[in-house]
Amino acid sequence: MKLPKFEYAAPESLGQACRLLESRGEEAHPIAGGTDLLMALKNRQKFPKMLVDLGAVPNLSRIEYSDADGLRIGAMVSLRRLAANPIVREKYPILVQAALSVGTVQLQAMGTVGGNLCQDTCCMYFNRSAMVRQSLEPCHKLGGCICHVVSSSEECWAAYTGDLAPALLALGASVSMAGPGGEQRLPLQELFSGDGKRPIALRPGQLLAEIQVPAAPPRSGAVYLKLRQRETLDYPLLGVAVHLTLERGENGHCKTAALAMTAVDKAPILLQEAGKLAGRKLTEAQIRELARAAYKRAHPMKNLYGLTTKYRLSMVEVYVEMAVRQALESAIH
Amino acid sequence: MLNDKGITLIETADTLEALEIVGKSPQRADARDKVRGSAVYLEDMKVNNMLCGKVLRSRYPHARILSIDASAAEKLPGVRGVVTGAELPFLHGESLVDEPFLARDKVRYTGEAVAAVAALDEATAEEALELITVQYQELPPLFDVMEAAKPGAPLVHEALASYQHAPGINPIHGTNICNHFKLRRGDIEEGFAQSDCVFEDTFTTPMQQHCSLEPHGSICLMNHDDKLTLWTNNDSPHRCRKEIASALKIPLTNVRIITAPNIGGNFGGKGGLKAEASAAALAWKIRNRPIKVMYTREEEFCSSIGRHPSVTRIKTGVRKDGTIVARQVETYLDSGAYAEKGPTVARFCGLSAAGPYKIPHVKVDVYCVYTNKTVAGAMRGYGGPQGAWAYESQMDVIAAKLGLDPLELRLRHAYDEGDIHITGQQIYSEGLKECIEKVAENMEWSRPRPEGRGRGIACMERAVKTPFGSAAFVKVNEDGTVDILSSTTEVGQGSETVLRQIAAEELGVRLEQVRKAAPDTAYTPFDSSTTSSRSTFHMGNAVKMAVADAKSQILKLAAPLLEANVDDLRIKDGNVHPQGQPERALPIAKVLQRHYGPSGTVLGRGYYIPEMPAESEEYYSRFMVHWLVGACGAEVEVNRKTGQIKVLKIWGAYDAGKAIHPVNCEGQIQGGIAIGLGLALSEEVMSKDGAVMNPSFLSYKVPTALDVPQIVPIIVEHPHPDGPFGAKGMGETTNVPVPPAIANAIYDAVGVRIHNLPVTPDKVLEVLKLKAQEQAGSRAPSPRRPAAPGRGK
Repeated sequence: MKLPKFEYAAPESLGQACRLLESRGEEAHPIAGGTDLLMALKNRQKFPKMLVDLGAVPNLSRIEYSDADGLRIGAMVSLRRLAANPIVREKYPILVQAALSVGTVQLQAMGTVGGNLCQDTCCMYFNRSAMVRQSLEPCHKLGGCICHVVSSSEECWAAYTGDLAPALLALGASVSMAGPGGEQRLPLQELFSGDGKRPIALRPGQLLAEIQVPAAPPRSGAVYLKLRQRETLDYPLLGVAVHLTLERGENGHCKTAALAMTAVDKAPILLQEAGKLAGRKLTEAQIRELARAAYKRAHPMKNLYGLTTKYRLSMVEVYVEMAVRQALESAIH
Repeated sequence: MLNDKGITLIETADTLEALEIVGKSPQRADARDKVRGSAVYLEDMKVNNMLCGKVLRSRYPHARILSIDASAAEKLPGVRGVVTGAELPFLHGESLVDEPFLARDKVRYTGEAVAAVAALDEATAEEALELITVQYQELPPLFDVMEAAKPGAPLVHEALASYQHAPGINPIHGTNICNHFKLRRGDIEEGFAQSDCVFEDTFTTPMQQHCSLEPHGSICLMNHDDKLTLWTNNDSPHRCRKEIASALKIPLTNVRIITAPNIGGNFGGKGGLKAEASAAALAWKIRNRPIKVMYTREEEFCSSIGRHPSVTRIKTGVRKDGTIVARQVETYLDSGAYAEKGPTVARFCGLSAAGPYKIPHVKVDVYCVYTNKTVAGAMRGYGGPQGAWAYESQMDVIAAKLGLDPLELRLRHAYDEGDIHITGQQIYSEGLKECIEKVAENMEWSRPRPEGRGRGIACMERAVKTPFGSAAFVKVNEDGTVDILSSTTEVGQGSETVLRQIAAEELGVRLEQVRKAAPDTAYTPFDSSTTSSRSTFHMGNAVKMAVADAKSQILKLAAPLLEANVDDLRIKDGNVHPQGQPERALPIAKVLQRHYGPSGTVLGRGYYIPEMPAESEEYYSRFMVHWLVGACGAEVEVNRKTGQIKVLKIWGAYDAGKAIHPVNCEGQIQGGIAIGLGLALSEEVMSKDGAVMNPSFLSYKVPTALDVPQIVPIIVEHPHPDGPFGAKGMGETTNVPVPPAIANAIYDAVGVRIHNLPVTPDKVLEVLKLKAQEQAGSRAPSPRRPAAPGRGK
């Protein structure tokens, strides 16, 4: 499969890039590492007339840390660079786990943090080439009016399958978006629309510029667990990120708790119920209760290859319990 | 040469010990080029004035073609022609001739070739495909092999009765069964009557894909005199030539097949006509222009072939003491839309369907059945994995029920030297028991494993296609170097190295002085195929015979020069000398020069075809020149909460007869076990309404390097009386017993028996939960965990 023809632009400032994207509207698409987008072009799932390469935009590839402001990651930082950064390795090992669980070594080298967050949703009926797709009616995502996952549904049921999103959500990350109206800072979960057809809430002309993660507090632990069939290459069939901070002292009371999931809905899920654990001691009963809440919130569909939906759902509680125990362990030590 | 009466070794132990090149592991002939990235594959080959061909494929699993309008495509600038099935009134096929070059009248599977375009470049060809309009009328499709096998099912091939087929193939007219293979021994009803317990199970396997890194590709050129040249990565150039010439009804000499010097993976998938058919269809219409067709990865999955999905019902009668008296096997192989190699896959599956065991009463029926799905064909093991999954899983079911050690049960029934195979053939050169014992010993079979861990064992046999011939020429050049002309293809299995070793050893020259030419049917002589683990044995023999022929000529020339009898002369390191007098050595080059001046050359020829006992008229004989045997052991850990399976280690012991290149044999074991592991745990071509859902390496879960556990390769050597230096084939054995070995280990670990491959964590967890419920329900009497078979012995 060849790439279709497209115009190519490589603006040298963020402002230029945003103006170009705004002026071309739906015709233009930004490209960072290209690992998600180029497959979509080859498969004829997306039809941009122009690609706006962000590679020449300065200052998007920085990783900075201060105890006051926490971690700031430029959207163009590659996944491998993120995972190799000494500060990230020391203070945010969950980001290393998540970044190195993406695709393969090669994809990690090309793929960027911003691109990984803004990746399109996945569906086994949609993520195939035009040649193979031709045996099915075009679905919502392709401008049709059918969903092959839920045949009676009027909406698209593709799954969000990014690995970084749950880890960053659990860490309480926010994002800066550049755009025609200037820079805007939002909680990360607002990046995700929950609309399968248009899962990333960026308007034409808007670009994800930076990700901010609060400073890592002492006595905290964070873990990302990914359900997959192989040790590499696979998208998650379920991803669970847990971030716990403990109160000072021996009693193990929880100061903050956050839980996020991926691959079980149209957007990554930040589970509000986890917040209830704050100020309480983490007992077995509470861990189970949290797992139950996650189970109730998760909504895996038959939209990914591999293990059954029933199994993926049944793994939610198992993975949450495992992740909480591991996060607790790492917070204590 | 061959007899049924047991071993008469041609090579004595003394001569085997004196080997200098055979049995060592010199650097592979292709290693340096492959490491440098300079090895030539079909993709690297370009012919002047070459066009790019692309194929339009069916979007329906079963539909009548009402019309094809290619006029807009033909007018697109850069397009040099469009061809459709209606223009090619030909069928091809190896043992059953049923497949058009491009669909005619109707399409039989989603992804079938409907039309092909040749253009100046790939982008134009792809664009042109979108301009072709095909009108279809949908027909009722068949996706279920059991439904398709029933009498009265809609027909995939209405004209089955009219198709040509090889003798020994038994299509059932008026049905979708393109071969029914039968094997009977003893009296099956009598056998069950004598049994104390009868076990009945059904096992299934999915379609597995070869996943060769290099996809199918061909360049075809045909001139106005119907002379056709095909550059291809087909595994068997002479078989390919025959299939094309027969289909197009032209003489063999009109067809020249040039095989790429390197083929990037085969595993059975590169036989038959795939890209060859599309390229030939275009070349047949657009004359005097070479046209290249390279498959995409998706075409590999959707439009080439995979391993036959199967359903096997296996019924076994056993006495209380564990003696197996009767076994009845009924297997349905899902052939997809065309027969491809299916009829002979069914045959090979059936020959070994009862397992490598002494069983007095056996009844086997294998049905190869058309459906409206992706075509199935040859894949490593050739019906073996489907059979072994059933018989080796059931061996452990029997052992568990009767409280027997699975290892002991196998050893008690495994064939021994001199036993009569269920086909009636007397077994010779049988290393099966040693394979089983070596695996058991290496894996410390009796060692207790901790909770959640288990170990399993499985063994196998497989026939080698018999009787088929292989021929070779050797040229001894004026400087004493040697060229081998042989049509064996290098598909990564290392045949080039092995054949050079055999030639160098036989003649008495250094390995570096021998070269093997890439196959070209215009120059390299007949070879039936590079398949079935037959090349080392058959082509090895042919090369050895050709070298022996050349050597005797050289010695005759040398005898007067050295004033010695021919019988007293020896060749070592390229020097001829009288036995015991190495100081009187004369280089081969000198011998040739003294006789022929600067024009020195000696030509040797060899043709090997196994000598058959007088018997039936069948295309494939009942008698096998050798049986491939081996055993595999696995240790696993199963997580009871997630059902996830971690394979900790795999041991594989296989009988190579004599390992010509031991490191290469170990590579065959490693690679085969990885293929077996994939079928066991994760690989499955999934389809919906006949369309392949996962045609990519992302969505099709072939194991990666990180997923393959430590493998312990064990080479067993039971020399074959007729093998070159005692060698037999072994590559196609290596994957076959892996799935049941792993499944048996899972059972040993957590008492869960899965009948349907692949054994994925969702299936394991479901059974674990069911068992837990059952145990909770029946807690009143003392709940008994199923006995871990053979534990602690």
